[in-house]
Amino acid sequence: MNRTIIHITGLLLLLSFGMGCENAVEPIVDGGEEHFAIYGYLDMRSDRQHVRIERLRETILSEAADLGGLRVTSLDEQTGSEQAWRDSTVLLSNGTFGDVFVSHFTPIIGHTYSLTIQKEGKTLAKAVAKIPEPPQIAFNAPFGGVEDASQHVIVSKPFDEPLNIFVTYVVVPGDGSGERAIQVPYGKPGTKTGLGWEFDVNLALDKYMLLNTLGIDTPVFDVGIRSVTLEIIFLSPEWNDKTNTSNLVNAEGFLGSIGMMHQKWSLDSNIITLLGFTDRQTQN
Amino acid sequence: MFSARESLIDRISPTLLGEELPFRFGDRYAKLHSYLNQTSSLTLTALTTSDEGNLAQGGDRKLQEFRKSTWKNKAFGGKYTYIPSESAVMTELAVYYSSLESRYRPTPTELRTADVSDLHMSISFAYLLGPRQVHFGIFGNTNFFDYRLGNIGTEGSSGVTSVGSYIEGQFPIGSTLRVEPGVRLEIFSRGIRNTIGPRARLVFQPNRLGGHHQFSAAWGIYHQQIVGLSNEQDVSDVFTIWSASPKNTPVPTAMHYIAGWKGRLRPWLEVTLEGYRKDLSHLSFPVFGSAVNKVAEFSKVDGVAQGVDAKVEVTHHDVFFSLSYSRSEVEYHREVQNASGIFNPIFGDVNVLDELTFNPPHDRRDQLNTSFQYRMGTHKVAVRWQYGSGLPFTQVVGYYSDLSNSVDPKNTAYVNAVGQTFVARSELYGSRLPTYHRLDLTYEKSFTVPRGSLTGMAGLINVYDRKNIFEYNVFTGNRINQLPIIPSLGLRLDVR
Repeated sequence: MNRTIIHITGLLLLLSFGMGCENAVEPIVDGGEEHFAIYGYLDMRSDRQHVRIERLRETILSEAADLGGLRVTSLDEQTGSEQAWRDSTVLLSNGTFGDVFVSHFTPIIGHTYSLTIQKEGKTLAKAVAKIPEPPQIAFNAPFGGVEDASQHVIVSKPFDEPLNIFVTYVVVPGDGSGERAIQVPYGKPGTKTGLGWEFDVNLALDKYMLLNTLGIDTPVFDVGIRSVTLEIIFLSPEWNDKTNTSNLVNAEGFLGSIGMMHQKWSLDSNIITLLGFTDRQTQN
Repeated sequence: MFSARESLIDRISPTLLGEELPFRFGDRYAKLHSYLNQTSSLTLTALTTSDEGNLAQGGDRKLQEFRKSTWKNKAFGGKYTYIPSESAVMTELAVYYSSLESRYRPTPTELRTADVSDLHMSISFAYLLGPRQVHFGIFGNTNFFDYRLGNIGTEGSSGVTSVGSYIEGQFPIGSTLRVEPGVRLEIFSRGIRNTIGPRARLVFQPNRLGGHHQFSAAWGIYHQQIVGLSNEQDVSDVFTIWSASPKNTPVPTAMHYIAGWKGRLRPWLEVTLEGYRKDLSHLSFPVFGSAVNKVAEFSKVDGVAQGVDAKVEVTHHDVFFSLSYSRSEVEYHREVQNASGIFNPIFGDVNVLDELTFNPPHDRRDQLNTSFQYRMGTHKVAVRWQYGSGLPFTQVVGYYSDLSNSVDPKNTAYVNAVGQTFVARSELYGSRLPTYHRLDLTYEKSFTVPRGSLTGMAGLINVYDRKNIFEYNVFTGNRINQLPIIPSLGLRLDVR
């Protein structure tokens, strides 16, 4: 019996020592430090682009990791043009520091840009943003009288909705002071319809904005209208769900884009006259 | 009977072990059993346990970084039994209350709490008709849940009540077969319908009742509306929230199939083998958002748990040996679905969840327990070894500041904004913790004293100093292990 006891005890000890010594916990995925958080957007309204970049941290309380040695570039996939982004340290609102990468260029409408984070020639993370295609815009014939003259505009599908709309009038004052561009902000007028986005350019109201800017009380036919231009600012689909990271590789966060389109149109000569201006539009 | 145990490890460890082990645990247990008269008896029980410790150890331990965490259990109950002398009907009235309070500090300033309490009442009757028996009764159960996941985390309170009745019996068929049918009707306060739980068990004893071999097969449908929520960001299972499943959803259901054999191959050798499969449906599983400590939503999952349990027991004179092994697998499957609100329906944008198959955090594949005892007169030695394969956990890719609320097309304020800490996770429960194993040794020596006996105990816990993980602190990256090798001493007084 004593031998049995010794055998069983020995077996237990052998089992316990033999059960592998592997005891490491790996709570962090291998290569997690090559994963990044990217926040920002490409903006056609500006020639200076910014993106916040942070290397993912291993613990909640650890400090933001150093981004030294990283190379951040963007590639215009249509033209093949590559832009370098420069790291810049910024003071955050809580007194700590963050990294903002800056590049000087103006994105082109309809073009796709790949933002890549590289180290020693190896791509660590990538984000893709496309500036939306320019929408088709149709201008209906103006309607209304001197107090309510308007022109209906349809921005066709697949255009979703604008962020902002401006109408810019280039006017020629009669005092010989030269052409002036006067921008009238419209905000986000109109509604989404089955055709796309529809709104009215309120010509009668704009008349008073122009006169006010020019310092004229009443229209006298010596103010000419040289051109009228519609400016539409619109967002890429990424803005609809900022938690969707399907355009990011090895990265969390958000990269969207903001498009901008200018569409000059020829304002009906009769309506210009009705409003008390002179038609000085050129045909080009 | 009264028993009280209290650990001294926090007081003796600095001098005896050369390191501080700021843990304290203990329990109190009392039981009163009284025969009120020849036909009735009353049993009262009370149990409290407490475990507490400062988890600020190792590299993250500083005097000011105190992370006191506690787990406290209470259970009180009473049972009144009445057996009239003139009939074979036993009546039992039982009332039980239990509670569990968990307080866990991942950091000195971050406190997670989870409380659950349970009040159970039942009246049951048993007709004891020789080899035939019929049991039936009514019961009611009320649970309250309250939790808070840190300073900025999810918090909530809920309760669930169920009432029901049951009837079950035991009927022999011939001398070798016994059938045990039953059914349980239960109404849940949060469920969308009443539940019926039929059950049946068949027992075959080829060598007459009490023979050497017993084969059994059982089938049944079970319902439960309480879910345990493990925080996906925790690597270990140190903190669990208990909660009611979402309102107006089907009650979580399990269909059990069990088949087993138990044989006494020799007078001193008993072997048990059992296989089972549980088809699980309408389970509620938490969906954690990217924000730290935020339970975003619930998802509905179905699953399968299946496995085999085997046990060998040797009892020979003064020797006792037991070896049990379990092999199991639990797999959950989530169909494409809209997420559910935790306590209320979601208004506005509903998060669409992808199809997913995964092993939940309690899927321990292999478990082995063995113990050996040898008694030699008044001396007794015992060896116990436990082994468990690693549990699943979700690896973290990393933590970052979420700026999605600051990114605005109308300004560039995000350039200087400070975001909320978010976590990027890898595959859901796609990794496994290291195996758990531990060897304990004890030696006992009994002495006869007037009116009873006194037993002195000495032992070693975790003999080979296995570093089993207790907690991985995601805030600091430090790992806290369970108890190292520790000597234990004890005295037990049995009074006759």
